[in-house]
Amino acid sequence: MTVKAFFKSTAFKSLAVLIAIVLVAGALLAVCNDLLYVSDEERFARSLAKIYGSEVTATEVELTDEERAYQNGSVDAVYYVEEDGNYLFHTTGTGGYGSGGTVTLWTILTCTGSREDGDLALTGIEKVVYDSNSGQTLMANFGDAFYAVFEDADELVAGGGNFSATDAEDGLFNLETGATYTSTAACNAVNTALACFRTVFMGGDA
Amino acid sequence: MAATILLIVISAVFSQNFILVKFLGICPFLGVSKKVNSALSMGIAVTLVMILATLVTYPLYTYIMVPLGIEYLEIIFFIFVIAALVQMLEKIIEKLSPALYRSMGIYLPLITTNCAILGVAELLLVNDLSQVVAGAAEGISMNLGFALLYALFAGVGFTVAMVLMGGVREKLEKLPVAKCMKGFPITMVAASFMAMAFYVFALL
Amino acid sequence: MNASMKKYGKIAYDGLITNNATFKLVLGTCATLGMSTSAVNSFGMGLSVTVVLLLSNVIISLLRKAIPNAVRIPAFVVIIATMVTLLRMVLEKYIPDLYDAMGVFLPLIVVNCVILGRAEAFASKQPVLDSAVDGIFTGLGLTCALTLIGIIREFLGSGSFFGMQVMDFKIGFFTNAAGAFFVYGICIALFVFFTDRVDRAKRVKKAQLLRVPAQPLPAVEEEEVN
Repeated sequence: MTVKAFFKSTAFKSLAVLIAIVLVAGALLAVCNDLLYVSDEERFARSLAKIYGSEVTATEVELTDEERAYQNGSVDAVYYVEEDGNYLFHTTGTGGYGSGGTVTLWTILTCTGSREDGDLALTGIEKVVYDSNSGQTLMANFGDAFYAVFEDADELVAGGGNFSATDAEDGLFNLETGATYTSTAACNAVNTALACFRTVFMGGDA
Repeated sequence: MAATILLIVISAVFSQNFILVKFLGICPFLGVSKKVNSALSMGIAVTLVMILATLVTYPLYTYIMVPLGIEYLEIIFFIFVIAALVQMLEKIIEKLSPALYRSMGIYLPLITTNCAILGVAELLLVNDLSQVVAGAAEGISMNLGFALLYALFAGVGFTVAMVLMGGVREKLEKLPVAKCMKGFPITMVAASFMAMAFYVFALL
Repeated sequence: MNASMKKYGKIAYDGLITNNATFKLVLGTCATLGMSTSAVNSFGMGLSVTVVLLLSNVIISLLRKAIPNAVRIPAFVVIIATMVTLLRMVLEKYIPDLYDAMGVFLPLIVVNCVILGRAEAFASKQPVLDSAVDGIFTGLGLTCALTLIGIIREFLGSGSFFGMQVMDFKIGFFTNAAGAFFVYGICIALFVFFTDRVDRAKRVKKAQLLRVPAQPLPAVEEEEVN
């Protein structure tokens, strides 16, 4: 087959059309990908809107490594919500089922005053939203009733109290029956948020 | 490690069975399950293509497409890879063993448009194993080994469901069934009972 | 005008009833079973397939003379895959809830037999407008069927209708995989049952119409007697 015959053959035409279609499709998708790209900030704003129920503007608060680590958990991130002046904590509580089992929650803390003025005071927990867990097989049992205990305990929270799944002496009792370890980890996640707020943001002793 | 592997096997074959729980690959499940023999051949062919497809698509995505930032072309790339693989496999089997080609080869062209293959390739594009295998501890990152293992046993689960259905349908053929229930409807209802049995594995 | 209306009417009727993709041809079953846990999801899935079907039908019909026969199938697959990728980007940007709900079934629209089937059987041979009409009505037939299954499963499974709680009961069976197969099977059976009825009624009517001119004389005579 000569070169000329090849360029006139059906095989060449087929190949050329196919390559043309692929190139056009690729170019089209590249352009659309640029136009429709969902950035990380947008993704975060969406997950925030899901937690809050409405769109809010939040700025991350800088924390040092020491300010993140607590006895029974760690603070992954804290956001200051500009609309209502609340703080949103993303914390992980330890002590869950199995070795190294944890529960990670979003906790919205309500407060009065401002950090700059130094008169910040904790007034309660507005909402606790489940995020993720590690090794907790009974997590699906935890319903609204469990999280509502945190949200209805304004007095205790404002008064410096904590939550506990095992000992009422340590704080308000909150236990999902049959899942003591997982409940402990969830309480620890909320307690970590409270501890961080009290020590770092309010500057006092927890 | 051994526990993780066992979990992958059980999850892929039973509790997250591709056909009866995840609804992937229903077309061959309804179309090629009239006889146990043909169901088995189809199952083996699908398993083979699943492993080969994962062997190509997973590294392609992780080591080439992500660094280049062209993740958005994944659907086109994957479907091309699968189509090319199926075509190659068909030619190879035809050359090596005409007998095998007669029993299995005829199902190969159908596999290109089988959701189960593209499904397994897409499902495995996660960072964490627990996103694919329900019940696995978080923090075990996905790698090619786990991906191949999952693909292999997803194929085994597919074959198990196909063969079971083949057996049920061989019996169903001989039973008197209402006219409007003949064919797909009665097969669906039979599949419903099988799905109930498999659902028990998800509760364990 | 009347003739073309009739033609489009026939395409629409074929797509909606005679060749209903979900109930009659039983194609695209994976998406039907997997996405029908709630009415909203199945409606979203149906519309997504309709959009891809319409776009791919139009594009394939436009290119039908340019694409050589030998590379027909790969070319169709690339076009469909491009449309699905576009849809995926749009959904991720503007309807993230549906995007999350669809999960792996969104890319799997590519291997939905309905789309490739219509491309091969219709769009690759017919003019653009016909293909568009075919795409829309095949898609709508599929959307109606999917939404119906979604409504049934959602109502029986959680007592709600499009997400609104109407009754306080739950039959877990229907939200599970087993319920999906069961409801789908029963729906196909009912559809076959009723369309068979309608077909038979039509055939009887046609036969009667044919018979009338065959024996006109006695009828006329009878009238005269009266």
